Amino acid sequence: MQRYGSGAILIVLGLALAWKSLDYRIGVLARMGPGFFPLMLGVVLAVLGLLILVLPEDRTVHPVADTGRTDGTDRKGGADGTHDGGHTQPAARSGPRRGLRPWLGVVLAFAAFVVFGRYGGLIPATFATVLIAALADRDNGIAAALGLAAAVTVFSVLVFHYLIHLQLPLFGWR
Amino acid sequence: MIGNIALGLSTAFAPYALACSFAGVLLGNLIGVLPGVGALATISLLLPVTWKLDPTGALMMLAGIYYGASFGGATTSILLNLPGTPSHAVVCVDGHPLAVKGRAGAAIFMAMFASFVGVCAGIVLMMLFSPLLVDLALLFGPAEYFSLMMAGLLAASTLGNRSILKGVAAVFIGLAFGVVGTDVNSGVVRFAFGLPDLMDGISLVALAMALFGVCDILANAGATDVGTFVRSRRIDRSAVRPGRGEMRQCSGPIARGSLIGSALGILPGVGGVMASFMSWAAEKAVSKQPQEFGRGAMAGVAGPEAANSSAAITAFIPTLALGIPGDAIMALMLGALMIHNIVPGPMLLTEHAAMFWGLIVSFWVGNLLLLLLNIPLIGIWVKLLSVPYRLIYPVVLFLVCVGVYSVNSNFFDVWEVLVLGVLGYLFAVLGFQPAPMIMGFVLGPLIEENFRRALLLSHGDLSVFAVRPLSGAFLLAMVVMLVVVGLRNMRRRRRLAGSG
Repeated sequence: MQRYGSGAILIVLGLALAWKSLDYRIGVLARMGPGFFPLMLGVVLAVLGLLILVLPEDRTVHPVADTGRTDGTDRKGGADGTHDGGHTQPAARSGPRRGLRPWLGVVLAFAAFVVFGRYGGLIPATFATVLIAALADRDNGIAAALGLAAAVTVFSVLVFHYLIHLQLPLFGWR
Repeated sequence: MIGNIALGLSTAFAPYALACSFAGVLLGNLIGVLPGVGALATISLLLPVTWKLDPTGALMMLAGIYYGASFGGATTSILLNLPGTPSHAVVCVDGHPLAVKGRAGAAIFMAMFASFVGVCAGIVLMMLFSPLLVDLALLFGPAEYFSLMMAGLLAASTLGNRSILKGVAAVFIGLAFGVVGTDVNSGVVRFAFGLPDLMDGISLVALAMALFGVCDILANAGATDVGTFVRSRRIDRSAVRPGRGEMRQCSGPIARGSLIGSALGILPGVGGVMASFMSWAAEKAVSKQPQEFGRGAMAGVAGPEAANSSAAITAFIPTLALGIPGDAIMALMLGALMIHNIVPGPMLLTEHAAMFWGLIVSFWVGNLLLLLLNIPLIGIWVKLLSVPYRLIYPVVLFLVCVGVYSVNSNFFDVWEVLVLGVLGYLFAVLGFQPAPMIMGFVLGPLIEENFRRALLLSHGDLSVFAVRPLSGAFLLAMVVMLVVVGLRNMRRRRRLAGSG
């Protein structure tokens, strides 16, 4: 359940933070060392985690039953259909499984930007990043992906190179 | 006073000055819309251009870029859930849900309008109360900063419409992120995991992009039931303009936001960010429908935008009147002035009256130009939302990469964004909202610094926070806020239990 996960992660994070902060000098209140604040933070985080695990879930704060998801949209739907489905905040969907492809695509797209940017320049980086990111979505055909990549590349050359003078050569090693 | 305003008007409306203002505003707005590339980058890039201009024109152009970029940032926050600057993170919270509901145009219009009113209010306050405001700023010692920021953190933890506990936890997670890097007081490098790129801490732009943008992309990319941002085929009038009733309803938030922003803008460094968060919390506290906040409350856009903009104006006061820049952008402005041989400070008003008052009037003119510039643009932005999401998110992903890279010309930052994005996704799934985290991250180092400084000055005496009047007042306000929220929750719980 979300409650156990969130509480547990806070406790782990807090304890880890507190533990590592002991590596630094703690000092006293009047002359605090670098470890003092992180130690306090770690303790508070762990306590908060404990509280989340222990206290009953506060159902009154969010009367719309959305099964504990963070949701930026109003999911009461209704006949007007102006805002059902659509674009939502993380974890708000229990819809069809997306599989690994989107995740892989997004991560690889970032990696592509770095690799192609460092060894290829702005143009290859733009093209590769957008292409890979677009292909992460099963609904994007290869034509659409290529077209989008090309368009964005043109845009990026005009804006980022000529207008903003981004520190990234159009082509070439760094 | 009237003579000064007249002087200012004649300076600002000279065709040359007007052209400078316009150029600045246009450039700033266009560039501000690109996520990550903020006012600071734009100003630094265009600074050399201004050397050729005379000081008045130069300053007007730079100032135009400044608030043009700030405004562009609001647009991206609403449309793409990507905060253009940290002070716009809070506009994402209510602005983006409004866009999802199909009311992006209305939200942007309201943001614009609130911004403009905020600027006007800031200018008026600046003209009438500069000396008073400066005195107020001088009252703030480390203890006051600490207490004010604690109050700000509490306000930030109300940003989740989930449990307060998780909101507080999110803030503390943000604080924990803020600890990474070199400790200011001792020079010790903390939690950098041996990576030299982390010695300066986690990049704010990277974190903001990660928690808002990347998180979103990870959650929605490739999902087959995400069509366009907005399902509705009918983008009717209510989507493009706020209704008249709404405008009236938002007059309160705008007024309050302007006041909060003007007051907090004076405080160097955190002014804008804190102002917008505080305004949001204040609006949620006084609203008759607090549960709407976070899901598309117009007041949640109007108040913070007004606060943001008035803070941006009053942020000029310490720079111009005292010669003390509040943040990096102000430092650049100061630099620009000094290059033109103008020394800011109390003498500025007397020696360069025309420039000073011209500048102030140009704030107003520039923002008016922004307003006029953007009204036709709203239609274009709204059209953009009917593009299928599967075509939008790759572009957003790319913009995030470039935006983050542009800050330091460092590819490490791009890895940072990815890792933080994944972490952010994990946190969001568990119920921790991004906005309080950002707030915690921004305020964390400052809170620690002021905490230590205050205690250093008081030789370890903790009572300094309560005994100093201003600091004590903020702490008291915090306690009162906690009690009020606690009572409200208890009452609601009892009511629901009774009717259930």
